[in-house]
Amino acid sequence: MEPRTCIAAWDADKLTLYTPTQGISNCRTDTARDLGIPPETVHVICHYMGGGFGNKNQNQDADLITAMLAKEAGAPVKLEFTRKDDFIGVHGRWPTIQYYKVGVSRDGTIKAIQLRGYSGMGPYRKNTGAIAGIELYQCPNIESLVYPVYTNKTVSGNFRGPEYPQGFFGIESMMDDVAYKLGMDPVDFVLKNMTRKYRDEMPYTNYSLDDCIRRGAEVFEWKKRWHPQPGSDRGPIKRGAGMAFMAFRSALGRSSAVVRLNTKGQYTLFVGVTDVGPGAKTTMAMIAAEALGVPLSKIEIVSGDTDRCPYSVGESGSRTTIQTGYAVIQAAEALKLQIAEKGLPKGDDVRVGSATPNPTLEGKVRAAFGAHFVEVEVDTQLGRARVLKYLAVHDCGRIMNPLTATSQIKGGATMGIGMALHEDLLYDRRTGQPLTAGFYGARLLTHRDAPEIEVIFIESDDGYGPYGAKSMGESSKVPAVAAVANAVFNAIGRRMRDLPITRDKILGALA
Amino acid sequence: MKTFANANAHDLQQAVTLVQQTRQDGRAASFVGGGSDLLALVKERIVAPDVLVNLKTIKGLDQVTLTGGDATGMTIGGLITLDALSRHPVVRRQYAVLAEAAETVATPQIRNVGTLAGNVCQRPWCWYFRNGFPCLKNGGNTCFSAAGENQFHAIFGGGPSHIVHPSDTAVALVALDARFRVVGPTGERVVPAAEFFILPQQDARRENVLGPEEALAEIQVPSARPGTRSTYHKVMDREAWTHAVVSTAIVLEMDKQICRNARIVLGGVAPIPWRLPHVERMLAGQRITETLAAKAAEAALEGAKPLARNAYKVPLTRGVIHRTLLALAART
Repeated sequence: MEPRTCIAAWDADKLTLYTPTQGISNCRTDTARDLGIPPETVHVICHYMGGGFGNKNQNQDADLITAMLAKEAGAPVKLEFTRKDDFIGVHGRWPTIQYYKVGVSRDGTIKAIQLRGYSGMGPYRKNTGAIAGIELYQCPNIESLVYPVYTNKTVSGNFRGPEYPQGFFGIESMMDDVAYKLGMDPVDFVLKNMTRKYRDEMPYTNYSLDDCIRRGAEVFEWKKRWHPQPGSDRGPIKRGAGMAFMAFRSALGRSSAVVRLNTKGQYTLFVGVTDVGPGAKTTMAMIAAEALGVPLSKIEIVSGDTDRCPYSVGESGSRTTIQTGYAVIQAAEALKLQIAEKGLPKGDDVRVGSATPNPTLEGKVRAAFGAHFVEVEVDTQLGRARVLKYLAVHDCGRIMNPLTATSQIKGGATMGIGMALHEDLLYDRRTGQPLTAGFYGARLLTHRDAPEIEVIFIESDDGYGPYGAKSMGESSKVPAVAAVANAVFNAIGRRMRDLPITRDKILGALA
Repeated sequence: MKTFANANAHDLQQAVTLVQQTRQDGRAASFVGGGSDLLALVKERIVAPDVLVNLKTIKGLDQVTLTGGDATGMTIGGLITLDALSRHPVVRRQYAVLAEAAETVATPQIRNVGTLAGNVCQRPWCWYFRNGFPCLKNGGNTCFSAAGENQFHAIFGGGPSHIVHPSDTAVALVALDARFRVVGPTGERVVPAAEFFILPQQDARRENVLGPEEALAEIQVPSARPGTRSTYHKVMDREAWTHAVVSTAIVLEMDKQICRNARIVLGGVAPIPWRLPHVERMLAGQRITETLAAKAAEAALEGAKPLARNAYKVPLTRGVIHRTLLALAART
């Protein structure tokens, strides 16, 4: 939860930046480009950071400002944002307005989907403004018109699943409505219409959506918790259940790793990754230990330093484990080959294995799959919605570290609950000034607001990535908002179309 | 953040003199207790004191004293922390409404430093005021909430400012008929709770009668009559660290099933703790049934004037009163 900070120091023409970044390599090239200096003269260091959350995978404005101030001052400069600066000066999720039209036959088969959407990008465009979700459904006729628009609000950027949670909230609210209109159980409707091939064309490297949804429905006791007639609980406190599912990109790509063995039998792993929160350094060392067949304690890791580590793709897009993790295995194999050829190192010698693989998928699409099931309780007199039960079922391929993996899913689901029921950066309409910047005003969840979240992994190995590991970090937030919102509908029989679903809106809808 | 000097006071008179002298020198002074509200205001540049007169160095002002004789009851030093107040055994037993209100405030960290007097005198949490808009509270001529974002603003007693009073303990203290001992340059005075808080139509710049050189020293609470039970219900937007969207403090004097006397005060709905005497009269001498509680809740919202975005507070407040009243009456 660290706000933006940076220390910049110049030594003649060489710049050193200590900055919390999700990509030391990108930060170096971007900074060099912006300052008009060669990339080799920029040294980026990030050994520890207080969380990534998505929009630190470029050089940040803060880095550039600090570098320029340090040049001007002729001395090292440290810049540190206040929490309020961080809310206003850094980039949050783009808000959207989405209109859907869905054509469906009487037997519940989707025939056509149209989306007209608008994304608020702020005064300049930093990222795509896309709205994801339609591709979840198998449908011969899809039209998606998305217009990123300039606004007088803070600039929008990438934030955990940049185009996903808000897009999935839109499409899955819509499809939930369609299912009720048809008199179908939303779970049956999804099973009938969900993607089987990517955009009806490309096969997935493995496919487990049926498993995720069926297993989830069974463990959650969907039939028992879901009300065929929404809002049918008697009494002022009503319960309801909702679900949403997801498929999330899990692409392969280029990254690098170097492993070195010295005469003391100590292995040193060099990777460019930074730990944005999920424990990436531990995971990288675990992969190296596995590939080398040595205990974890034999692996030392050097990371987050452009002068000491090889290229890293950057810790965004949920790809650190898949891409750099795969490079770690390849580097370990290269080292083992060296040892086989030349024997163990002697004296001051070392053996070094390195790799920069760039694997491809040969016409297939790789995706992580999942489904979330949520039960809520809505107090219709006091307007309060509360999550009672939360189950997240995920296929993230092979699980590398069960503890951190479970935390990733819980964290994403918790953020989704916050986005669904709590958080808002509200603006004064006349002046355009933000009114709720900061953790107090924006109503982030506290520990007491986070429910118990049950996580089930359906492990798979599609033969790609490191031991079949797929993406994870962002995907746990993707279906969460939609699942909570659909549960609220099931409880009160009112479709809440405006996030967050707060007390004023619930009581307004019920008035 | 503006820099300031700290001056430790050893008694209340010295504190008042320090503030007075600083102001006579043309500099700004503030009394400070726990500082949790004041420092936030300083950091946001809402206030800019040159000198903070520290009250925490005054001994004995953080105690609960039980008083005997004709004026039975208790006296609470203004410097008691919210945490200590909420845990005090006598307060918990005889004045549950106050203990419950204190323990709903903010977070454990804030309750560990925040004081009762500070909580009662807390400045509003209207987002226009706290974000430095040139509003009435910040010395301007406009209340931006009137035609702006007023989700959390007043449905009673608003105009020209539409803030809601932010204190939980103030609501409980009004329900307890507390009296506030105020110390200032001309000596001291005791102000009944009903007169301590003032509406914006009287003075839109401040929330209570305290002058710039006056401090709230202690609070006197009359003894609870036999059969008294009380509670505080606070509706929040999350489970911790928010002010009341709506709250109610209810004190009932019960004689078996019959309510002899009731005091009902609302928080989060008006620029002051909002007492409901007409509803209290409806309940006196009655058995509190489901029907009567519903009637009382209905009557409580008569005359409410919601703004464009806070009409939800009307059914919400109704629900809170209905439910809290019934639950308290049914308690054995």
